Amino acid sequence: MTGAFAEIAGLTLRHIGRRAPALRDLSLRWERGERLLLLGPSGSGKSTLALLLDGVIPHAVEAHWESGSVTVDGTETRAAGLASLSSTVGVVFQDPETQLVMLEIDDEIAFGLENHAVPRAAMAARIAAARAETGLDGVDLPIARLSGGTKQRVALAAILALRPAGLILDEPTANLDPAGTREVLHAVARLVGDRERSLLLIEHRLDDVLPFTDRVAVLDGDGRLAFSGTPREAFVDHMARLEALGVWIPQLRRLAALLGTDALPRDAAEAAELIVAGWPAGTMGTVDARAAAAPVVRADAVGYRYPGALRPALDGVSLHMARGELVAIVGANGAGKSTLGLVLAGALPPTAGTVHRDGQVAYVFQYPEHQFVSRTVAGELRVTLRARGLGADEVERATESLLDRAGLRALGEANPFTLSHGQKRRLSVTTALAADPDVLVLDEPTFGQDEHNTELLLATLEELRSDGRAIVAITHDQGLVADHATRVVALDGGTVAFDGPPGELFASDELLARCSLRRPPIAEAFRLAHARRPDVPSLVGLAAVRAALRQ
Amino acid sequence: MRRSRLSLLVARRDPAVKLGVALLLSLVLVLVIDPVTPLLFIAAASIAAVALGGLSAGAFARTLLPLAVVALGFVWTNAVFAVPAPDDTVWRVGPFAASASGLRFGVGIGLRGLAIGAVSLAAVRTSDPTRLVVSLIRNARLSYRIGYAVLAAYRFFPIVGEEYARIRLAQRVRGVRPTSVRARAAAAVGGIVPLFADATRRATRIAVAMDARGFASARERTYWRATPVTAGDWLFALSCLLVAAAILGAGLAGGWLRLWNGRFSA
Amino acid sequence: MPRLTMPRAVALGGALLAIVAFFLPWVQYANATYSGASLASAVTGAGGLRGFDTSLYAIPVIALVSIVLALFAARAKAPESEARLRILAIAASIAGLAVALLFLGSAVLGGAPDIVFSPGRITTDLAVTTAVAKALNAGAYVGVGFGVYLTILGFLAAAVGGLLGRPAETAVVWRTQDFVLLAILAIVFGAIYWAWLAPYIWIEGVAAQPGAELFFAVWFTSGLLGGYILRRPGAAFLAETLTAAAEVLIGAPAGPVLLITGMMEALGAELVFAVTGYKRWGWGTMIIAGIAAAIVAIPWNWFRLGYFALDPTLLIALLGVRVIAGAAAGVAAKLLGDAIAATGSLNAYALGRERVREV
Repeated sequence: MTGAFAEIAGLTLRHIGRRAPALRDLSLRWERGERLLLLGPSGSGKSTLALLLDGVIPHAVEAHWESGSVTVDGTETRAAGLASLSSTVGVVFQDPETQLVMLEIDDEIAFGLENHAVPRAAMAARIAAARAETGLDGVDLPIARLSGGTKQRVALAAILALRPAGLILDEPTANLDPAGTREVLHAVARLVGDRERSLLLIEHRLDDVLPFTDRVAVLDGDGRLAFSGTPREAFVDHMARLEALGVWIPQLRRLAALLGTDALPRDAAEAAELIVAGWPAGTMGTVDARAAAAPVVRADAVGYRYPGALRPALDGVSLHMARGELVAIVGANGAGKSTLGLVLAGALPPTAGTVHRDGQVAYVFQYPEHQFVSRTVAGELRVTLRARGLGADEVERATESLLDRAGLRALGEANPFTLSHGQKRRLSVTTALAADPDVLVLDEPTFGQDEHNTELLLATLEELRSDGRAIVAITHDQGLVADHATRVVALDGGTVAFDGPPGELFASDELLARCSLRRPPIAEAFRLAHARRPDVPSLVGLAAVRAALRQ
Repeated sequence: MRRSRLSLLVARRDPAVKLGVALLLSLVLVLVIDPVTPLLFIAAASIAAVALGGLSAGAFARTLLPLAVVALGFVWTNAVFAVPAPDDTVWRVGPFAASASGLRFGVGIGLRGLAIGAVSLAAVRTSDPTRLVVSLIRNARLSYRIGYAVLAAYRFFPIVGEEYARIRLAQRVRGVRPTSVRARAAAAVGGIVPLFADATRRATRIAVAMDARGFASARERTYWRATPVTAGDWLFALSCLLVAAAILGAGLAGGWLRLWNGRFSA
Repeated sequence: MPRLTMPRAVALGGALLAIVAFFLPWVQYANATYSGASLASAVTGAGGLRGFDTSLYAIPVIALVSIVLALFAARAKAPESEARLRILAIAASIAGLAVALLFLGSAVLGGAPDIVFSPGRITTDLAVTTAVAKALNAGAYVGVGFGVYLTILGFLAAAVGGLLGRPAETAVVWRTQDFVLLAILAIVFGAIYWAWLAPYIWIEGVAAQPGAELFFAVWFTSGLLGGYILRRPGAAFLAETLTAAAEVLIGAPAGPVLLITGMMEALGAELVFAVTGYKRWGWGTMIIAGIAAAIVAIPWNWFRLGYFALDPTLLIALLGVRVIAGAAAGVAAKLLGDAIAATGSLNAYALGRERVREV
């Protein structure tokens, strides 16, 4: 069947409490059976669009609908009822914790069916089908005991049971660790073959979803449609424009661009072809010839057991961080990464072993809200500055300059909670820097950020690193590890499974499996290329590729 | 661990019926003021919960422990502060005199609280929460919007404690290290606001997720969970009431039963 | 013909019950049993007793007034006059309730079999037992009749029915997020209860009831907060009830009886919010609502926690502490509500809307 599944015409929508519209004069077609990828910087209204297509806006959530219309499957959403709209379009949101409602998997899948008055006799079959579609047959645990990835699959199953004609996935892997991401992407890949269903995907792990994307639509920061076209048009012809908009570009495409081709590799194997064909002979990876600096934090056989826990969260961890290093701590959820960060920072006293610190260590939590102690943005900075013992004048001057540096001058008197995610992250990092630390430990610094903010943050970290500080980043973000980390510490069940350069980690299949990690697409491409052409170095990230090609 | 049919007798009963019975018995107990009757109720409830309901005796006792301490408080207060009959004083410490009748009354009230708690625990802890809520919705005409809202929120109970600990840790790392009692109290309170802010945000998102699956607009609703109230459930309810009546009857016959005599005074 | 909805019917029925019960047995003496009506006329015939008979006669009059006001409210066309008349009817019912409770309370001087109350601490001229019995020559006081309880029940029903009897046009639509918000707040308060439980039980163990009174502040706060955030009829009631239900569900050893305690307390707060038309949410309203919650729960807790056996001085102190706890709860609820709203998390709810500054 051809024709539009959904059509948005001239839509301008403004959220309650905001002056600027979330979506501006937006006109977009979502064709039937199409797999549409929706991109845009943070705050560009992608999630709002998802809620509009589902009918949640305007029927369950109020907003100022200033102009335009949204039509799904032939009916205008404002006229239709939420009941019918919610069975036509299903949305899977990014946070597994706030979209699951029940305690058991079958109850969860049945929830939507119950709401749509599906007769009980028909439910068992639909539940079983949904489980099969998402690979959940045989999973018998209560929801509370499931991993993040499995929870997302349950959410997906719950939506699929409703047999929606349109499926929207709004950043389904954003809150997951690498293992969970793999789980969910695998489940999604199994679904895309069904052309009866139209798919709208909002995702930034583009390399994984590119193979099954039919069309790309891009929203700009103002909520306008900036671009709509095929993946080739998007990432090859208009790549520069999309970059300027702050949108993620597939890593393999960037690699292809660096190699000077117009290709759009769909997976690592295709990229490997390009490398084999186009890698300049004799170009080796650069070696970071930095003199080993004195350690600024040292952990000796450190262990930590949470009160009342059966097993220690950390066991016999020995490592050290030196100035000028950017150490990434990776591992599956529950491997002890955050605990290690907290122990190194001195927030938790080790229950075994010792930690030597040769300077100040500041810790930035994953959720900035947890660390806010003041009612204003400027107040946050002042608290830390005062704790340093600075005089009143100095405090004021430092606050001003820090606010400027973080780009938060205009929001000085705002309540920190009301900032956007990116701004909150900047604020929490800036507050940590206000303490003038020698070591900065960050828990998931790129969590929930778009390309633009991530670049800014990483640039800041680079700056700090060259200033002589040590940076420790606890992260799932393989891109960060590949491109910016000088060293990787991989934890597995509270012990150190690996401590060395990222390249070595990504080279070992066994280590990656043990720590539930994935090889980044570029590393995978180079590995495959190296197998066919031994003079190609085993590079892991874009930064390394750029550095190598620059020679 | 295999459990015999008998040991799960109570656990398999419909939770709404159990809750109803518990409520009824609690209301009856509210009128009782002697110490022996509640003790018998506690015994009956313990049997129902542990031997017939599958709960572990240790867990049951541990949950009742706080109430036991509270009961001590009642004993103490009433012993000393209840209005005594003349020449009833049992011992005297300074200006405080404890009376026998006050003591008896205090013990009675304390045990009564324990009995109400035990009955409630026996009903709730032997029931699956989902089944309880769905049964209340289907059998007790509880609004499904309230019932499922509670079920959705129930998942967060263990998370709240962890979240609060994380917030306090995060604030301590920021340098908020209170030393004085006042500062400690202020810090404790300061940790509450992010907790609530987080909770309310979660609430909004969960509500959106629920509505996105057609929750609010559900005119008619079907149910996946079968929650029949069987003859066995009625039989169970009847037996509980009979046991309660027997306990009260025994109290009447044995002379130890004391009910609230309709007076609002001592 | 006025529309008779269920709450309105309950309100009218309650007031009628109050009148009918006035003619049922109210007090029993060794020599005679009196209904409210006969007691009043007997006392008047015996020369009167310092306003005692007047207050008794007031009861059927108040009930009649309440009925008339409720009927007029049902017939009113404009919503403001409907609301005003209904609130006056509720106020009348509460006045009747107070008088009946006072009567009952004056039976405080009754005395139980083995605990003799020494009347030296508090004396009142409305002594049902001594003064009246003496005046009527009715012999020893035996007990209070069930007519009093029915009258109290009737007035309570009249008040509650009036509260809930909003006409359909002004009914506010409850959205899923309202229910989920209250449920999540209930769970958070439930968790706080668990955390507080340790210090609570030790304080209770040591200072028992007086200590417990202080902790009631934590209790009341949840209902008041719910009402403060959502600002609609039934919000405080539902919030408090859900908190009690959450305790039971989590497996706290508190009993479903706790639900009744919660409902009672919340009724007091709802009453205050209703009187303000759900429009005024300043410090005054919140504090008074807190105190009302504390006070309204007293009769229930009177025999739930065995207050009736206690020495009156201690009792007064206890109640004083409870009133302070209620006021504190009102303050806490407003502070907490404002703090959460300042973080922008409540923009979808009434409290957030009030302070929405477009960003």
